[in-house]
Amino acid sequence: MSEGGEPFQELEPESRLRRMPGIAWRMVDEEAILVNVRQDEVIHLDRVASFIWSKMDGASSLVQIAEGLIQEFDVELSIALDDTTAFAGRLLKQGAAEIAQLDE
Amino acid sequence: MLSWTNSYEICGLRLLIVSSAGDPSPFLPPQTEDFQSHGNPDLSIEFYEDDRAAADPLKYFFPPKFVLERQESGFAFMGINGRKRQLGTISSARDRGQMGVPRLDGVWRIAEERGFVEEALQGFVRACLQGRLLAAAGTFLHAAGIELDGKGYAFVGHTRAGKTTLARHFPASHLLGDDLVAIRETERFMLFGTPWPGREGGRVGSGGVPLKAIFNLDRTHPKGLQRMQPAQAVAELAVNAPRLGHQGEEAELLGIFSSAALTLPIYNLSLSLEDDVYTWLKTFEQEEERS
Repeated sequence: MSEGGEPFQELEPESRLRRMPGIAWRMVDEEAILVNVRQDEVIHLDRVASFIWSKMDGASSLVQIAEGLIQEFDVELSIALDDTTAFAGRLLKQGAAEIAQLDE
Repeated sequence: MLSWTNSYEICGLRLLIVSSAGDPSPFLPPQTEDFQSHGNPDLSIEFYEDDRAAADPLKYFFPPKFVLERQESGFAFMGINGRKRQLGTISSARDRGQMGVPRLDGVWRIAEERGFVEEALQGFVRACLQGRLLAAAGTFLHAAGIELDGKGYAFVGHTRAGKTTLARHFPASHLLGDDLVAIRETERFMLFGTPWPGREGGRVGSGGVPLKAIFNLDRTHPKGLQRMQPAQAVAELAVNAPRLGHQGEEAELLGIFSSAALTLPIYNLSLSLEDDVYTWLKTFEQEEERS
């Protein structure tokens, strides 16, 4: 269940997310700036969120991204996976990312 | 039929306007005359007579809200009026624009007709220029632009951030505009005035000045100057860029702003109405010398 109580597709550690094509983004000094064209919105992500966002290519699972976080930011896997899953859920809710299907 | 033509240099780009529908210059901002120039065009815009536009200009061009949509052959300049109506086209290389208009030297049935045609015509010229600027590593910016001792300073900020108030501190001879200026990266970033300088007007013309710094006017910060991190600066610049709403444009804007944030000093500047901006510019110069 999302923060606002609206249901969205359940995320599993093996879920793979992909950035939505309508989002223009750029890494600047290890921080990502996102422009959501449809909602006319500019979002500035911190370094952890930027790392997760940059890995959401539809090929890496959430647990693989979390493993990358461990190496980059020296955190435990459980915390890294919680952070990755929570951020992925927010992106899904905001329409900035979508779940990639298994056969893709 | 004889065509009307004129050439301009705006933001370092040569613009040729051709019209077979009569003289469009009374529909452009009066400052456009200060940009007259000659030479081979980087961008040409053609206005031609269009029966649909002439049949009911009020309905055709109302209301003045426009977006640019990417199409296979280039871009469509769309008016939004409950549904979208294609008013003009821009080539994929963004070096040619075409727009159908009523006869521009004809008689208007009501004054509002002329007003809506003017808004659409100016909107189209701005969209063409913004597209060509983006292709040449530049963009319009909602900002006040100042020139002091051959150096350019841009002051960006949200509506009511104080751009116009700040511009009043400077003599008109130093002001490039208080609403819409342009930046463009050639060998370095340059700051330009535009034919849409804003309420305070300004010294308009075809030349640019080297851009020394960008200040983000934001009174929510503690009073004074704080250097912005590059990513934060890019986000603020992206918020303040005039956008026509297609994805390619956003990616190009982020590229230009990233380059600006990595090569130029960009500061948050929190001022009170009574503050003397010259003092803060001196403080900026001292901080830059120290760093």
